[in-house]
Amino acid sequence: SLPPVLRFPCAVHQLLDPGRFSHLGTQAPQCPVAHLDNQVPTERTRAISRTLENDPAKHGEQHVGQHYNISIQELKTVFPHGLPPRFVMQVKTFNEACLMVRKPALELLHYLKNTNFAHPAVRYVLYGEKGTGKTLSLCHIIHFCAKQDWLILHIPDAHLWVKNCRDLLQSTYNKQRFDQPLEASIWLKNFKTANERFLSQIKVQDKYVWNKRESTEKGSPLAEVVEQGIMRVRNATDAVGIVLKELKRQSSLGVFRLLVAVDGVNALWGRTTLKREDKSPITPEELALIYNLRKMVKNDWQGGAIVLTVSQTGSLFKPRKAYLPQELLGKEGFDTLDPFIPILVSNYNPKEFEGCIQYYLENNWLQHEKAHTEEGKKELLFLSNRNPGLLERLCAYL
Amino acid sequence: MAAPSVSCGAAVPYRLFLAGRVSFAREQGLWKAAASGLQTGTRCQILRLKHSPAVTTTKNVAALRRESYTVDFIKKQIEEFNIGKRHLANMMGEDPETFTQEDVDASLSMGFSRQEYWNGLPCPPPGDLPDPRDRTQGSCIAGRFFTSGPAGEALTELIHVVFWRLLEKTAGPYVVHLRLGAVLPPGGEGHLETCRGDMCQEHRRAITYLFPSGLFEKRARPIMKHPEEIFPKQRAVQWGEDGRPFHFLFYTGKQSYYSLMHEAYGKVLHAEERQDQLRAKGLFSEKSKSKDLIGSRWLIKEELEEMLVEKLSDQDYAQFIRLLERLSALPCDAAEEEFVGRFRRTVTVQSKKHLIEPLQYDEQGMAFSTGQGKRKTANAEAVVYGHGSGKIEINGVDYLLYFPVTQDREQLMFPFHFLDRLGKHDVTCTVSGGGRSSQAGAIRLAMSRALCSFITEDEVEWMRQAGLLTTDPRVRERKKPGQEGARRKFTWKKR
Repeated sequence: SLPPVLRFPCAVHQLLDPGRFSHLGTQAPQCPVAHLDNQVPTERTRAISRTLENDPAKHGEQHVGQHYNISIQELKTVFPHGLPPRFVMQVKTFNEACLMVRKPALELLHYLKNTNFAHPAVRYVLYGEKGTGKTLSLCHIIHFCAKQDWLILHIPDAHLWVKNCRDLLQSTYNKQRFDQPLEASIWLKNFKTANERFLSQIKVQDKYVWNKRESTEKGSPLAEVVEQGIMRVRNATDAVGIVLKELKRQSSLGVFRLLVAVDGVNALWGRTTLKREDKSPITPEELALIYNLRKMVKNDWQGGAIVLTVSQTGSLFKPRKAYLPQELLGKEGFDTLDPFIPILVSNYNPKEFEGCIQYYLENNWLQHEKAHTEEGKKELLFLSNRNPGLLERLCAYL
Repeated sequence: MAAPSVSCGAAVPYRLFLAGRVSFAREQGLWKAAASGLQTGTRCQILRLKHSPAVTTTKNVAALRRESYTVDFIKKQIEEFNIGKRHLANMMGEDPETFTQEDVDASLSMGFSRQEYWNGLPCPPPGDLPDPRDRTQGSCIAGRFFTSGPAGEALTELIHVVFWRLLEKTAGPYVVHLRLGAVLPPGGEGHLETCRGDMCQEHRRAITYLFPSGLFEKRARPIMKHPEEIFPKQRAVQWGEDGRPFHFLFYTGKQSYYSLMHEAYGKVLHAEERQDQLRAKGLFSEKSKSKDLIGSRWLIKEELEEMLVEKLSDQDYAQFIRLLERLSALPCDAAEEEFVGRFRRTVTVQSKKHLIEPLQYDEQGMAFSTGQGKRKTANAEAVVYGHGSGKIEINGVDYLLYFPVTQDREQLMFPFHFLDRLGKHDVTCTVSGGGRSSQAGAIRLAMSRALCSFITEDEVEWMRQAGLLTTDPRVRERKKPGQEGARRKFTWKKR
């Protein structure tokens, strides 16, 4: 006679409950994967999901879908502020930082390896739907460049500079513009951590007077400017402006190679949610940080590369489904950034998906009994449609 | 005056009876008053006249009591019904002998041309309208539909009378009998037919007024059925002239039930005796009885009550069923099996048989199938392709973007996961209306229906049992006046 079938419950945690849903009858719960019992399968899964090649410069097509390790010290140096918060939590949980090698990042690495530093900086724009991995690809690139000893100018999220700012001061340098001391000082701190060794080498080429008592002489190291910005929060924005100007000027001389990495560059040309005291809205140009950053993103300097990401996640006043650069940058931004090389970041392909699942299984992240079965993987595939961000969120429940 | 009964609780059938409860004089008075208002002839005027203060709304206690029909009356109804059926058959052009109830219902709902009937039948010219006040015709009011002018008046009179009666008696449903057509062949017995159809404007209006087919309540529409089905079964008088009851178990109170139990127990004893005899002779053999018990069920209590025309208690019913089961467990002969069979009803195993469309093939030779689904106010149509990679596209957008909530995507996953075909089909669907959850439910239903073409019958049955193929009947309940929402009442304040 007919097998028993139950109504389908809606909550995720009941979804893959053994015995609740299968129409093949109730199943006995299976034991979770025990590493101690069988070493061979884990070796094999390691081969799928991990690679021992930890230098991004040597990553190639064969490493697609595999995770490589970044040591914690490197993480602290290279990424004081660059990683997405969920990834930081994952690093803390797993006690290791593993990034997946993916095709868009490999493509970019290839371009970067073949850049001609005599030409003006080329702009690369990473775009894609929400959760496909743009920010982490950017981090991969930054890691590569850090290993190659470039100077990294990384703005983790430009959207943070155009919204939720408590204190807006009128700029000391230019009366029309506004200062954001907090954001600028935080950024300066992180910048210092990331590029410690360069700051003493680069010399400032102008004299900057902060106020009646303080000034920076020509020829003093950039570290002083940064210190000044950190200590005197009121001048932080100006310090940032100076840093950007100097770096731009001096990278063209070929002393070092500069990587400008901005996440959420569409914030520079959108709208802000900040208002003046008389409640009139502020356009991005009126923010000193944004103004200087715009100058940075122009390709009128040589000796480096500009890697940008457009994202809808933090953007203001943009529809949820927009992911193309045209939609997110707007006409003004697109014209300014044109020409650029767009790189699409899409969902996982089957191999990458498999690698990701294996990685989670190895770290014992997926505790559900059905997680390592084929059906479980198919369910996860369907539910997340191979979207990395969604997959990560789904697996968090399991 | 003859008082044919008031039917209680029954649907307002097509054959309506007017109960002559009202006093003659009052009737006349109101009749005159009504007649004066007739000149205008408009409906609302008549109605307004009905609400005169003479109409009292006291509870008519007598009418509430269940009325009993006499045996003669029922017999007469049956004769009339049969004659009417024959006439209907004639009108429809069918053979009267084989005119079944379905045909009756079909012709009632379809309607037919009245003219055909009148042309065909040798009928006296409709001229005399029997007096509505004449009670001798078994309290039937004759009406007729004609094409002439004066008849129009008669018709409006008829309408008037009917509604006057109906409105006057507010307690209990009343049955108004209308004889339509000039139903006066020499016998005096009437034809019963309904006519809708091709008639002149005012008569058509009259018909739709009297028999409005726009009624949503199906039980309110005119019907023509065998009197057995309309009038509830009633028991004839149980005792004779001398007061002695006919049945020996009359004083138990539930004579039919106890006589049935007696009979059944007698059969049980008989069967056991036979079984003992067989055993003694050594010819006893085990016979399995299960085949007639599968696919049928015992009568439910209501059905048994209806059969015995008696009220039963739950314990009585349980006792009876136990006895019957005991009887059926014993080896029986044909008579006993027939006895048991009287109390069983068949049950279809596959209660839901819905059509499974065959697969269609598009230009590339790919098999596909369409399905439609609804949930609350969302309508969805899905096209499921035979071979694919598990891609689902909704209104041109990927399902991941269309349903950012995991719950909705789980709903979409359900049919495929159930059939274990997660990555094997491609779906393209369109959906409109409703909210996010109802759109997900509608698409799920549409996909399941489309998937039926790809799978075996057993799997269809499993899906049906899982609830994948049923439209969710829940809709938003309306808000009622005096309450804040559908169920929520206003805050109760003590003062």
